[in-house]
Amino acid sequence: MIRTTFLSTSTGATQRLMQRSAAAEQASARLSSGRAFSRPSEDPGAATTALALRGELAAMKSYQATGEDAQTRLNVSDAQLNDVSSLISRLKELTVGAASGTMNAEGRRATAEEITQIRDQLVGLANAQHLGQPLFAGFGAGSAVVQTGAPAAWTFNGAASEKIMRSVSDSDTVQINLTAGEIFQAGPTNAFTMLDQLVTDLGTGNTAGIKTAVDSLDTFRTTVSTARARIGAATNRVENVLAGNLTRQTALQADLSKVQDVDLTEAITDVNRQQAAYQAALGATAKSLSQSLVDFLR
Amino acid sequence: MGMSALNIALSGLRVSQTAIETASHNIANAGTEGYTRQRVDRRPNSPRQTLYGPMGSGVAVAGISRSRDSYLDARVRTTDSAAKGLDVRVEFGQRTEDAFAEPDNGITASLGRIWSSFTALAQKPGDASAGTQVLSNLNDLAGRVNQARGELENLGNNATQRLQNDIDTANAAMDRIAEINRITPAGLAPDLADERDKALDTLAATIGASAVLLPDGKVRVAVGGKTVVDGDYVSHLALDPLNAGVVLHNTTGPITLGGSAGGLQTVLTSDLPGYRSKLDTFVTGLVNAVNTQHAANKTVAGLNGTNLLADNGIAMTVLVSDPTLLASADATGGAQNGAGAAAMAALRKTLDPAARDVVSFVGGSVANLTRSNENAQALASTASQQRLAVTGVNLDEEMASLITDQKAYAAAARIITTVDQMLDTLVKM
Repeated sequence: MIRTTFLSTSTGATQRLMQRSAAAEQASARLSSGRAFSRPSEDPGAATTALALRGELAAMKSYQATGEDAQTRLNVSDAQLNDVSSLISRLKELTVGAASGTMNAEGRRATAEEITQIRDQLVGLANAQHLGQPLFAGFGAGSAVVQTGAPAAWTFNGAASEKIMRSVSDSDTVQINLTAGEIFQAGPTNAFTMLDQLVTDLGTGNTAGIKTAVDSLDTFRTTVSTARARIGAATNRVENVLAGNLTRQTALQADLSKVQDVDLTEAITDVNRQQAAYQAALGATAKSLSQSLVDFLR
Repeated sequence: MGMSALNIALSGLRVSQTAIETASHNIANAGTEGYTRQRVDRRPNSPRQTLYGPMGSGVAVAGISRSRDSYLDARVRTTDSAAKGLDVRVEFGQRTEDAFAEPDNGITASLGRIWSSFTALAQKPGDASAGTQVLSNLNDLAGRVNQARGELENLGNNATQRLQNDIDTANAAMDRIAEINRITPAGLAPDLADERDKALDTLAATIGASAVLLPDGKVRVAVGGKTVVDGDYVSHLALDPLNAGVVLHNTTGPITLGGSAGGLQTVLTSDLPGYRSKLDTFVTGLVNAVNTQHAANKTVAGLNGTNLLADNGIAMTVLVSDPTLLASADATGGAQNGAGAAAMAALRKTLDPAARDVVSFVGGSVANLTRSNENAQALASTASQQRLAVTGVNLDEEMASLITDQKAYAAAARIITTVDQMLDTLVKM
């Protein structure tokens, strides 16, 4: 038979009460923190999974920021190219008018004047900047197109190999720039030299030269269209990746919540159960500790 | 006739009185820690010879004994020693976790911010504010790493201090045991024996010592296979001032302890260095990976990337303070080339898992220790309860024996009255 002694009942009761109150305390701490674990050792597996998911989520957010920035830059580039297209159309109109041979010297001079204006606009567009960064200068920070020396020498900065690549997901990198050369250079001639020649031809009334310019303008329009198509394709790709990214973020968030957040229903039930157990232990201890033969001897 | 009955009654009175006193002593000490219930052992007096053969001559106290079970003592001491050792290791493990502040405010969170800021820099290479952000995040990481290391250092000092306390406590307990051994070679008073047992409990809890009761009533105490108390001989323990966690036995050198001191020894020689080396390995890997990638990059100005981070095993430092020296371009160079910064951000693929590995190592170790500790605590508590069930005072029992002895005392007194009346009758004849 096991003896129950004064010390064994009291220390036993104290220990049990302490265990119960610690369990109740832990359950309510878990509920109020909302976390399934407060230190990694409580659940090392869940802790490392949570960290991995957080890392993944942070990466997704970075990709999202990168993607959105890439999108802005592509949209701005596209707007510039749109302007370039309209200007080329106007140039064509003017040039075709001048090439008809019915125009007098006065008219040709006026046309030449407007073409020079448009050329300067095109140079402006080629040197457009977005947030302080030149859009079409490759990796460089300076102007994409520079007039070097008169008459009519043009330098393009930024080789076609200077591709600004952005990682928009673990596996997708998208080129977000075009160089001025890819837009304004067709074969050996570039648009600006060609326009300079056109202005000269208009001055001298070289109808054959003006007619050649009409063909050249068609070539440049094609080049610009191709460039716009590339921008459009890149925009679409970024958009698709971003949509996928958002879906992935939602999924990751849900996974993370599953791993690191407490299940509220379970936690509340647990708190109630632990508290009930603690109350019961308190009651039982109060009853059992007060009883001894001393209480009955008179 | 009459005289011997009086003597028998007197012996009964004395024994009952002793029993009542012992019961009172028990009740008074019902709540005293380490007290062992005492029992009056009675035996009949040696018979006297009469014409009719030997006749009983009353009762005598054979001795006052303690209800103690040396097997239970040994069990309590072994389990308590193990539980105390694990308890202290769990405590230091958890404090290490606190120092690492994972998962919310630790190295992993800081790393995440570094990668994000490199991604931002990749979009605006050469941008001063993006560069400053990268540098401040790198400094934040270095700060956290150094703080964690400093905290581990503090934990080590704290453990050494507590080890010293444990050793002081143990040395004092050994002195006391030797003293009791010396003054009472045999027939130890129960209360003194309790004191010695309590000192032995303390020794078991602090240094994991085990005791052997010798035939002459003295105890011999040994730790880690080495005798520390034998009779009145004591061999004190001392910390080795040169090696953390090493304790020296004053004659035979290094000694492996149990109990809380043993736990602290493990903390100092294996647990904390283990956590530290895991952290250091990660930091070395991080510094190398970051520097290697940065060296392959070019700054906006076209310079090769210099070393970004340095670590000497004690302090991690960020070597670059000028954001324009951050190499955001790849080897091609260029003001708008962010490929280098993007490559830095991509280091997360190898370094994040490495950082998680540190967290999972510490968390896993502490989780294992916690489980073992819960087990050990349960065993120790059971053993202690079992011992208390034998050594403790049961008030019901004491009340019952009080009543029994009170009745016996009353009956013995009654015998004296009876003999008195008989003598009275004889005198008046």
